This record gives sequence, C-alpha cells and structure tokens, in this order.
Amino acid sequence: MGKTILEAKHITKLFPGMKALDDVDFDLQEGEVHILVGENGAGKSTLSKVLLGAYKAEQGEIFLDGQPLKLTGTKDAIDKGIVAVYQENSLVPYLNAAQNIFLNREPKTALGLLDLKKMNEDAKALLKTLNCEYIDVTRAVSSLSVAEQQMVEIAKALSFSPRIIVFDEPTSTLSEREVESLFVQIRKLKSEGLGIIYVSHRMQEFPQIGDRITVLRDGKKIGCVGINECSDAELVKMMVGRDVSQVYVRNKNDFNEEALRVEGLCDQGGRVKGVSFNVRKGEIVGLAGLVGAGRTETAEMIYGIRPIASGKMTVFGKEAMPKTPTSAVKMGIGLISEDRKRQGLALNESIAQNNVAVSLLKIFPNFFVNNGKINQIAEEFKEKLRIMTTSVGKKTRFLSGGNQQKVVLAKWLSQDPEILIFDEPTRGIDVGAKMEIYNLMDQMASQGKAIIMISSELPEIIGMSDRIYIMKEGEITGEVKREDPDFNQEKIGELMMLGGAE
Amino acid sequence: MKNKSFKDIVRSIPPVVYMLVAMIVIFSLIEPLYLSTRNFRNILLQCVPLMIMAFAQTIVILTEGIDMSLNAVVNIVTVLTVWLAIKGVPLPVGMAISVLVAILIGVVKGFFVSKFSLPPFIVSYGMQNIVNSIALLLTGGASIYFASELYRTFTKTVLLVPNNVWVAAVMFLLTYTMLKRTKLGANIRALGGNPESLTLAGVNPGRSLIKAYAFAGFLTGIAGLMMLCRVESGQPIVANGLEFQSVAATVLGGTSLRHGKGNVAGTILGVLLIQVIQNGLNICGVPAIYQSVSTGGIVLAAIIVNALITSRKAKA
Amino acid sequence: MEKFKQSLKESTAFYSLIGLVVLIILSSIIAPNFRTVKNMITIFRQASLLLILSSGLTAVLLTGTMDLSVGATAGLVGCVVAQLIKSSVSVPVAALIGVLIGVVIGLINGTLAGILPGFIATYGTNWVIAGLGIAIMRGQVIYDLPQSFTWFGTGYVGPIPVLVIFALIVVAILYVLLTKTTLGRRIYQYGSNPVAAEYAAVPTRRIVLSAFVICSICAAFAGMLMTARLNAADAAMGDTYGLQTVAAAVIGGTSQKGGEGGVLGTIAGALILTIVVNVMNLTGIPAQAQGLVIGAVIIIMVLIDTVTRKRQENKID
Repeated sequence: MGKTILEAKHITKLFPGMKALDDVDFDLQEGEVHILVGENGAGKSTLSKVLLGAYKAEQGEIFLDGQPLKLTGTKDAIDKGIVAVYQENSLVPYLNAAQNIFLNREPKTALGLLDLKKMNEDAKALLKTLNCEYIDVTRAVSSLSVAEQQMVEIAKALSFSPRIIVFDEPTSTLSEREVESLFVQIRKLKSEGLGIIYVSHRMQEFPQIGDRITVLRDGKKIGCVGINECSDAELVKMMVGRDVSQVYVRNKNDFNEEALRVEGLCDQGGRVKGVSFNVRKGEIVGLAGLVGAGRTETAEMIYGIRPIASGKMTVFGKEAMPKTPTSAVKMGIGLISEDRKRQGLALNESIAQNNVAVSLLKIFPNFFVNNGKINQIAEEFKEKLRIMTTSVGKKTRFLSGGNQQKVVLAKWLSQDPEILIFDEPTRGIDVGAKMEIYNLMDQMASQGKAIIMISSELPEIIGMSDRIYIMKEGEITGEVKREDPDFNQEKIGELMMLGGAE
Repeated sequence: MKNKSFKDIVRSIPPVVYMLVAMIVIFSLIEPLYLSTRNFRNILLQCVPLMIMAFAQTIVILTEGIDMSLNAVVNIVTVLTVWLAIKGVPLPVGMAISVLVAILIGVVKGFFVSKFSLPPFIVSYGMQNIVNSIALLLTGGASIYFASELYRTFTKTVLLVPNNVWVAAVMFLLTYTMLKRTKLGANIRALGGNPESLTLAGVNPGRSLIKAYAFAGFLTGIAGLMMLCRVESGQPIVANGLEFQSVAATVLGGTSLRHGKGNVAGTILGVLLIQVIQNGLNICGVPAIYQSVSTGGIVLAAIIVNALITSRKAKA
Repeated sequence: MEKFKQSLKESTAFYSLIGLVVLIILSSIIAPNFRTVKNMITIFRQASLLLILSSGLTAVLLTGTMDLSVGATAGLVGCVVAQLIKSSVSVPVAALIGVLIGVVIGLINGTLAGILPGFIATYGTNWVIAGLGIAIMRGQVIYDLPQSFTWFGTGYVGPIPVLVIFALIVVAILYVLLTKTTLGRRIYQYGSNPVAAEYAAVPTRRIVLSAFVICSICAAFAGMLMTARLNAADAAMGDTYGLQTVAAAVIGGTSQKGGEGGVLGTIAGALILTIVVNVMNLTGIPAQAQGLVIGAVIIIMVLIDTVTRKRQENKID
C-alpha cells in the first residue's frame, strides 16, 4: 500500500437538531479500497459528501497530499481529483452517453459549437478502458440498461482523471454478474494507484474488494479495521452497538394446509417461463436467484399487478386468477414490494395515512372515514413495530429507511393478509431494523401466515426460509428444504448461477 | 434482414408524419382545389407566427416547463412596436426594442421559476395577465395602426418562398443548433431530465433556465414581429389561444411534457398538422360555427393517436 | 388548542388564509365601502361560481393531473340547459340533463387522462366542448329565461343570495368528500404517489375517473347557475373561467403535483381573486388594468406559498 492521499481529521458536521458527524477521522491511501460502513443515518453519506465538497463541515480539516484542502463545492472537488459515482443515477436521460460524460466540459469546434465527433471518440475511448465498448455512445442513455448506465456513470467519473473515487452503494441496482464486472474495474483502478472510498451495506462484498473498513455509528467513528482482522459478527456488533449472536430467529412450525399453489405461471414478456411452486400456512418459502431471474415478476403476477399469460393459481384450494391488486388483496394476498420509495409509500403522506393505505376500506366500509381512528391505529403499530418517530402525523419522507420499511409492514399488517410476499424486505436498511423485520416474519409464520420471501442476500434467505426455490432466467431450477444437506450457500449459489442438474 | 431494416425505418418515423400525409390526402380527395401551390403557400404563410412560438414552447417544455404567456408576448410585441412608431420611434428601432422586451419578459419568468422553484404554469399564467393588461392599456383596448411598407417585405417571395417563411427557417436552424450543438442545449435537456446532474457538473441550473427562457423570449419576439407584419397593426389580443396551440403542436411533434425528451424538428410537423387541419376544414367549406368543434376534435384525435402509438412503441 | 394550532400551521391552506386576512385588512383601508355587509354579500355572490368550479377542480389537481376544460364545460352546460328550458323542458329535467352532460364529460376527460397528460387531454376536450357550444348556439345568445330558473342565480333567501347558498353547499360537500371519505383519502393517496397507490390495491383508474367526474359535475352546476344569474346563455360565457379556476386552486396551496392541498385553501384562493377584483372595481381601476394586478397577485401568492412551505419542510428535516 502506498502513501496517504487524503486525510480528514476531527470532522464535525451539524444538521438542524443533530450531529451528523462527530469528530470523525478518516484517511485514504493510494491503491486502496477503503470501505465506509454503518447503519442508515450513521453518517457514511454525510462523510463522503463532506469529502466531495457537497457539504461543508463545521469543524475539522481535510488534507490532500498533506496539504490543507478547502473545498468550495463539488466542482472544486472534481477539479482537485475527487469524484463520485452516485447511488442514484446522475445522468440526463435524453442526452447520449458522450454528452452525459462530458456535460459542462464539452469540447468545442472553432465556431464555438460542440465538437460532437471528438466527444463521441473520447467517450468511446473511455468506455473501452472499462471494457464496455459495446455501449453506443450516441444513444440516449434512457435506452441503456441500468448496468450500462452505471458504466457510463463510471466512465464519466473516470473522464475527470481522478485520484480518488467515491462509490456510493454502486451495486444496489446491479445483478450479480454486473457486480462482478464492476469489481474487476475497481480492482483495475486500484492497481493504477487510485484511492477508492466504497460506501456499502452489503457485507458479503467486503472481502472481495476491500482493504480496510471504517465503521461509523451515530455520526461517530467506531473503528477502522483491516479486511481480514474482523469477522462478520464483530463487524455487525460494531455497526449496531450490541451483540447479535442470533440474527436469524426461526421457530419450528407445523405446515399443513396449502395456502398458495402456482403451476406453469408465464408472463407476457417471457421473463417468467412456467414457474410452479407452493407455500403452506406457517411456512416461509424463499425465492432465491440473481437479479433478473424473474422473481419479482412472479410475485407481481401473483399479486395481480402484472398480467398472467398462462398458468394456474390456487389460493386455499380454490382456483384464482387475480387481475388487479384489488382482487389479489380480496383473496388474502399481499405484496411488500421491492422499491420502497416508489412502490411502497406515499412519501408526502403521514405515517398514519400510509398505515391504512391498503386496509382503508376494511376499516371504514361505510364510505366515511374517522381520522382519529386512523391515528389510533397508527399509534398501535408504532408501538408494536417500534417505529421511531415523534408523531404518526409525520410525513414518511422524513423517516429513515428502516422506519419507512416498518411503515410498509404496518400497512400490510393492518390489512392482515393470509399470504404475504416480501420482495427484498431488508434492502438498504440497517442491521437493527433488519433483525426486527426477521423477528416479525417469524412471528407471522407462527401465526399461520404463508410467507414468500424474495431476497438476493443468500445468508438472509437461508437463515429465514423453510424451503427455498431457486430461480434462473425465468424458471425454477431447484428446490431445497431446510432439512436437506444441500441447504447451504454453496449449493444454492451454484443453482442460482448454473441452473439445475440436467 | 433488409426487410427488417425497412421495418425499422418505418417504425422510426414519428406518427405525426403519417397523420400529416393522411390529412392532406383526405382534404384533397374532398376538395380538389386543396392541392394547389397557392393553398400550400397560404398554409405556410399563415403558420409562421405559431411556428416560431412553438419553437419557443418546445424549448420551455424540454426544461419540463410550460409557457402560458407566449400569446401575451406576441400581443405586446405587435402593440409596442406600433405604439412606439406612433410616438415617432422608427419602425426598425421599435421592432428591436420589442424583441428586447420579449427577451426581458422571458428572463423575468425564468427568474421566478428558477429562483423560487415556482410552477411555470402559474408564473406564466400570471405573466400572461400582466402583459396582456399592459397591451390593453397601451391601446385602450382597440387595435392601433401605423402604416408602413416595411411589413410587406416579409410577405414578399424570394426563391419561391415567402420571406417570413425564411425567417421561420432561420429560427428553426438557430433553435436546432442551440439544442444540439451548444452547452445550453445540453443543459436544457438536463433541466428537464435530471437537474441534479447540472449541479454535480458545476453548472448553475437557475442560470441555464433563465437563458432558456430568454432564448424562448427572443423567438417569441420574432414571432410577434411576424404577426405584426401579417396583421399590419398593433392588436392586443391577436395571439390569444396560440399559447395552447403551441403546446399541442409541440406534443404532436413528439416532445414529451416531462424528462427533457423531444426535439424541435418534430414541432414543425406538429404546427403544420394543426394548420393543415384548420385550413382544410375552411377550404372544404365546413360552416364557421362547426369549425371550432371539428378542428378541436381532429386535433384531439391526433393527440390521442400520437400518444397511443408512442406508448406502444415504448413498450415494444 | 396547541395541537389545533400546529395542524393549522402545517396545513397547506394556512398561508393562503393569512393572505386572505391580510388582503381583507388592506382592502378595508383602501376602499372604505369595502367593509359594508352589502359588499361582503356582493363578494360572496361574485365568488360563488369560481368557488364551485375551483373546489371541483381541486379534486382533479389532488390526483396530480389537470382539467383545463371546466370553463368550457360550464359554458356548454349553461347553453344546453338554457335551450332545453326555452323549448319548454321543465327546470328539474333540464338540470338533470345538465348534470348528466357533466358526468359524461368527466368520464371522457378521466379516460383520456389515463392515456395522455391531463393538461393536454383536457386542452383538447376544452377545444371540442367550446366548439360544441358554438355549434349548438349557432352564434346566437339566449335571453329571457323563466323566473323559476333564474331565481337560482338572482333570488334571495332573506338577505343572502340563493347563489351563495348553493356555492356554500357545494363547497361543504366537496370538503367532506375529500377529507372525510374513503374516496377522498384515496384521491390524496393516489395523487401523492400513483405507483404506490396501485401497489396498495387502490383501483387507480376508478379514482382518477371519480375525480374528473366530481370536477365536471361542479362545472355543470356552475354553468347552470351562470346562465341563471345572467338570465342569458352565450357560448363563450365560460371561457375566462378556465385558467382562473386553476389559479384559484393553486393560490390556495393545492399543488399541481398532486396529493397536497385541499378545498379550504381553494376557498381562500377563490375569495382572494374575487376580492382583488372587487376592490379594483370599488376604487375605479379600469378593467384593462386589472389583469396587471391579478397577475401580480397570482405570482406573489404562489411565491409566498412555495417559499414558506419549503422553509417548513427544511425545519422538520
């Protein structure tokens, strides 16, 4: 490892009513991937934004190559070689890749017009260094896939010839294969001597690319450890601040009555090709697979939001074909969707109103609503799920990811469906909230609910499921039960990647 | 293989082209007189002010805005130029001043929209009230006149095409080049598609937005002058209604009200389609009292067809 | 009490209500005859049509779409009902037909808004509806309607105009409908996040249709009352109301993005616009200059609303 490029000392950043960063030290060396980890609200994003010049810290100093650094803004940081690849897409959808990469730094012709030709050539060259020459730089980026957009995003960062790149949750929208090629790029950048700050939640990624890990909690630095100096459990303990010997709690239930059975389910777009499985009362059934394997699509068909092209569905022994979510809910099916902010919550509505979003007609069948009763219901769920908020009248926009997810759960618990699908229920939420959600799922199963869990995190799906179906490219390639010898990461991972034995 | 590429070409043609061709065919079948160079020259002549206004509207819509005051700006340009001429200011100077005023109005709108993030619809509607009111005050509510030969120079023909159509063509080239080949053009699409990206790239989004409105203001000013040359007087309500037509034309031309998607070339076709419909119904002798409902009906149908085809394409 | 204060402050109507109060105080200073009871009643009478129209429109705006056709709908319904009554159809039957036209227009608008942006769809229907008005009136104006009809527009119950009573009833119904019913809650829910509403098993198509139907029924009502008040029907009589209605609702704090605002604010917005015109008339400002003031008031009110709301959000954050 080389010399220290960036050093931040005693950084304190205040937000109204809270200390987002409290006397935090951080350093980055040449040719290093330094992972920043912590629960939501721990201050990882704040710290990276301070380093990127997006926020100004109230106290503390930053040194670049030993020289004090005073950033005036993101542009200034970029000029000094500190750039970011953001979690949320920062591209302009109807500009092409080349124009996006060179936004505000466009080469010009003698006439003062943009030199499109040079721009395209330069963009191509950049993408080539990322082994992405297949991306057409003249196409609007809105027509590229998410992964391709991410690559354009990285190319854009590289075009500044940076010395330090901050990756903020770069893999949250990528499939496993795409993650792998991203890691190849990161390793390459690292070997070229760049310093990389990698903000992430996904612990399974750390050993693959990280060198050191800095853990933040409640705005404070808890520690900085080498990648091999610390076990997962220790890391979780540092993040959460308490011992988490038992992350996945499952009680043994009896499964008798079949709640849901699907046979030969196909969608119209060919993303799901004849999926068959069942789930019984009291059971948690996992759907494992890579992103794009057709799991979410399957869930959406069961929930009536995506049209079913062919196949059969049986709910509690009766044939059923939900055409809309409304009819699915009437059959006793619920879906906790993947994208919390887009699909799960009305962010400008209060916690209380979100809490009754599904169950409104069940609670008030006579057209008129009583807002007092809505608040009362929300108060109950706030207690029960330990939603951290001053008031249930607060807009959900102002909650942390974990608390938002609890509101989504409350929304479904108040409707009380017999069959509930959890699609990536713990994505982007902190470890503490994750465990509470696991507990809740276990409780629901014990109460005799049938639960389907979709997750891309193998430890989680193995920890929680009684049975796991593995999906690959729209088909089910395998089924393993908890009592099977194959119920482990290696075998399931293999089925996810390679499909079943022929 | 060849077949497929032909199919691709067909698919890539925007629906407005088919609709335009279809309308022309239908009208010429109903009324043979329709298919005359004279009539097409008329269509072109008539649509010039709307055309240039629609270019302005397209720019504003690409920023995810909308401008309900374009009519008022055209009105004030006709009124102000004539009013100044009556007060003794030479016509060309008055024209220049009017265009400057149009740019200034654009800057003010852009300022309010960017600085306070007010909804463009409401800002421009408020502005419409204000500017129209000033136009009415300047004229006392009626039209005002100032005789000059200068107006006619724009309706004269050079190289088979009337001069004001040449002006529209120049305005198109300016707008097209601005959108495609300048920083401002890229920034405009970013304003509609992802304003955050501008801040990240070190561009001040507010300043870009004001520039966009100023450019649109300039175009509207020119549209006002073309209107003036057509009506040869200062008319405080002459362009009322065109603010909406410019939106319809922009949308028909394939520009989306959101995300900075679209292009100004399509807008030309959108304007032509609206003009062809209006002119065709007229030529075919549809009685005056039925013209509004039938024009509106056909334009609405065109907008619906356009949306349906576009959404199907997006799905496929 | 504390809680009430808090909820009032967080309500989107808060600043438009303050604006209204400030405007009333200013008006009383500027125009001494503003404060008379008689003038107050006049203001309410002048505001009544705008109140009905903009309260109805609030339902559509809350779903995050737009209805530009309310003025034309009012005009068309007013004309049709006038013609029906002239050809000796009884008033209740004519009114029923008028409401039905409103329902049909609402259904068409709502359906189109499922395919197109509401702004564009209803601009198109506005054009067609206004054109229909011209076509059925054949350029004529209808005068002299029977008193049994015009009473709704010109009659009084005690000192209070029937028109005002009607407006208040419609506004009250809409207030209850939007805040105290499952339909109203779902309109807010949909407007706040249409995708999440769909995932929450809200029948989204039906909610949007309902909002447009509510809006168009209000427009139909306003159109009939307009005819009754003018004792005449003219194809163009509703035209100016189209955008004014939008302005009233938006001034009142109902966001065009949907999910935020409500009837209370819209009442304030409609009253603000009416009072401004009233005061200008009292002080003799010529009609041609009034647009100047109205335009400025619209921009300033929306400015205050936007800026204060932004500050509030930052505070909570």
